[in-house]
Amino acid sequence: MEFFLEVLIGGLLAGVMYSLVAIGFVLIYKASGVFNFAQGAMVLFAALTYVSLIDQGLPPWLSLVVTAALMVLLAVAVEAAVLRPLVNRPPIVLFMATLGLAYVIEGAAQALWGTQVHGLELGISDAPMFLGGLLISSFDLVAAGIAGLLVIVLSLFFSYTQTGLALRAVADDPLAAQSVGIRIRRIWVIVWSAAGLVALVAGLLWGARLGVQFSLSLVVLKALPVLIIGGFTSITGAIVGGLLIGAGEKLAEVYLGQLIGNGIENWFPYVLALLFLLVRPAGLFGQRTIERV
Amino acid sequence: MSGNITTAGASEALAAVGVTLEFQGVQALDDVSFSIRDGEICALIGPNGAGKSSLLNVLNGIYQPSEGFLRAHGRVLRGARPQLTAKLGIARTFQHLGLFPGMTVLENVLTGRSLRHRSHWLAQALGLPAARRDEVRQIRSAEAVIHFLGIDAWRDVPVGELSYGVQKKVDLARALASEPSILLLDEPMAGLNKLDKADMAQLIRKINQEHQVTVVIIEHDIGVVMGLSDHIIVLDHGQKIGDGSPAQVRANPAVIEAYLGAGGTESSADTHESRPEPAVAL
Repeated sequence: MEFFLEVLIGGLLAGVMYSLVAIGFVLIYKASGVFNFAQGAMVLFAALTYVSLIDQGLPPWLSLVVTAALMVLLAVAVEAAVLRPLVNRPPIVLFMATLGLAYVIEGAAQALWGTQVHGLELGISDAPMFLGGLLISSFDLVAAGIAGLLVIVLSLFFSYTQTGLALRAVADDPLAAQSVGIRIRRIWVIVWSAAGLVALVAGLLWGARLGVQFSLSLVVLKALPVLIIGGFTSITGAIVGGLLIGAGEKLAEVYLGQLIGNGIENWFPYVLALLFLLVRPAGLFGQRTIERV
Repeated sequence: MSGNITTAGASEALAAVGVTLEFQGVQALDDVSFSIRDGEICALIGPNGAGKSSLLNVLNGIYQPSEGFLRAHGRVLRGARPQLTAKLGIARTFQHLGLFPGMTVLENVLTGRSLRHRSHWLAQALGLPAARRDEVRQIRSAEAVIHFLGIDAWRDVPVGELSYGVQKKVDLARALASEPSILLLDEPMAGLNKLDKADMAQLIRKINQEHQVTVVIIEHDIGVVMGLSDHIIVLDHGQKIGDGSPAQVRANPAVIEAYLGAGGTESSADTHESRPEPAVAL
């Protein structure tokens, strides 16, 4: 039983890290109906920038501030260069644009900072610790705490502030939102900035785990099943989806792995997502759209 | 025709001067000019496809006229966007409800207060006292509008769950919440039963009189239009064919002709549902 709980908790904590990446997608999808293919590139860009600034001799706090400012600048640039010219185009056009954007950001990150692998030391101990008799990774615990805090702040901001209300209005009906005087461009900049900051946090935590390198942008692939399970439009969904994927893949690896061979955790999330698509295509918390015909 | 239109009168609220609107070769509006006085209820009527909604979309800045310009409170507008017209005090409702279905009635009406916010989003994010006070002020104003329109009972219900009649009122409440000087109403009574229509007409008159709001309304029910409006503008095939008081419009031969024509030709884009009653009813 103890072993089961350890696996479960380890899985849940890893799941929070998946949620973190998924939330970046949700923010942008909610506000503009666009699946932002460049989210992974933003994670890489943020982590690489932070590490490189530290390598240049900047103190960690200053590197963090500068990187955060760069992510906001990136949001402003994306709004001006990509979103504004493509306003009112079908979502697939915007999706293709973010596909291109992903390559531009990845290219820019590597042109600026090089392609070598960087280690990232956040000063969080990775030693396992005993908690109530269970062996748990302290890094996972801290990472989950940071991710949880970020989620709470974002949820409060988008649920209870006037800007959050404007964001939801833009997501529901951009034309009506403009007609009541909501500045849609400003909302886009805020949303992309928020997604950029989420990418920064995800980049740092994942970078500390995997090393800061190109493959960091592939972390987002694990966010896809999370989004399918949780729904593309719900932050809560991203969290629950992440926890389900995290716990599911670890339990499957340990218990099913013995029966059908190891390495299950790499593909198990996608099977789970596929099952969800068959049963509940909008995800657990996603908005089901009803179309009049 | 242009004497009182090219120069703004002291009491003019909104005017169009030579407004032409083209969509890839199709002319939706053809050299339309008119002037709406401050404080009046002005109806835009005409058969379906006459260009009424297009005109309303131009007045609101959703469409940009290919020629001509608008004037709001004496200020000339060329290529104004909805955000700017909203700032100038022009609010609107939508023919096919442009509400935010996932949000409650209160939240929908609160979005109408967007331009009245005094706090920065950063202050909101940090929950600073000034931002909180502002929030409370906005909620009070929104609640006052909700009360005015008698939809208090649905304050916290997501609008997607409400009946069409109530949704129409929420749409109106959101527009009113911005404290507009000019209110554009795109078929506020379409789909309502007789009782609700009378209720809505009374509300519109109340808004016009108690809040001194100039109202521009598209409406197909000629009976309602004649009873409600001070001023009627008639469009047909994108052109203005009538402009005057209800009595003048009723007696206008071009208007009678257009309405009879619209009822009698197959080429008309009209549908039975929204076609105005024939001229005999004018």
